[in-house]
Amino acid sequence: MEFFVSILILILYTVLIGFIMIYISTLIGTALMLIIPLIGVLIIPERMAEFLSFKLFTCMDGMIAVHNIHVLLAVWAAFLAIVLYTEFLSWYMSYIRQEDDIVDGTEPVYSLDDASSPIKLKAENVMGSFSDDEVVELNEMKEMVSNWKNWKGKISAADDEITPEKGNEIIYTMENNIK
Amino acid sequence: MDIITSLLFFLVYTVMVALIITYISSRVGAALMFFIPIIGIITIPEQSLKFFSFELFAGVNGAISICNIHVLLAVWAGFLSVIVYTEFLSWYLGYTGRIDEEGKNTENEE
Repeated sequence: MEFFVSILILILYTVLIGFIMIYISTLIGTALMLIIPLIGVLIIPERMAEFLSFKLFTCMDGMIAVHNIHVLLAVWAAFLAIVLYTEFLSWYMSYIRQEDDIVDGTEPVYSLDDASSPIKLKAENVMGSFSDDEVVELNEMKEMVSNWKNWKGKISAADDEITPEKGNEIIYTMENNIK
Repeated sequence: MDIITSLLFFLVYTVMVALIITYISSRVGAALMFFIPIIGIITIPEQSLKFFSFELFAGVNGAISICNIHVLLAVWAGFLSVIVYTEFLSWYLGYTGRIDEEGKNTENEE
């Protein structure tokens, strides 16, 4: 087992796992990352042990030796950290977005015809159940109120254009009309 | 050098680096992550050498041994990958955001 062969195998393994994680699925990539060496150990235990225990280099007067298994461990740690971080980030983003939706008030708008309408349920708790005619009447009232709200919004927008001079003029003409 | 002592050291080291990366700065955390063992080797070389070459456990009939330095390598790999990934993501999101803004601006001009 040569030095360059083991480096080549490790590079191929890392690139393969990286591509699977990016283009197919992180879960499949993680599973393959763990299963490939395990299958190797099960099928060809002697050669796999030779590969994993191959000494890449030593340092500090031979006291510390780095074998292939240690590089494999580092690769595992890095990929697992990225996968966990990505999963956490995507959970956190969806959590934040849900909170934003509640703050924005984009809750679903219920009609009174809808049986699950919280407004209708609340009203029924107070007043007893409604007949069909009453529901129609209430919907009409609701429409009138929303029309009135629209009209009021338009009026208050127009109010901004009335200057104090114009207001005095209007009051003056009104007083004259009354006289 | 006990196995529990070295595991405790790793736990404290990892939690400290993680807290610094999260709450202070990822760069300061990464620098500290590298400097703590290097300073240890420079100031107390014999003790840190003994610590790094302490064998946690051996597998495959003693052919493969996991020492403290290998755990340290794995911790480094994990933190470095997360930091690099974060930097890449923030650059990418800023990049796509800029492209979006430019697109909107050209649409408005048209």
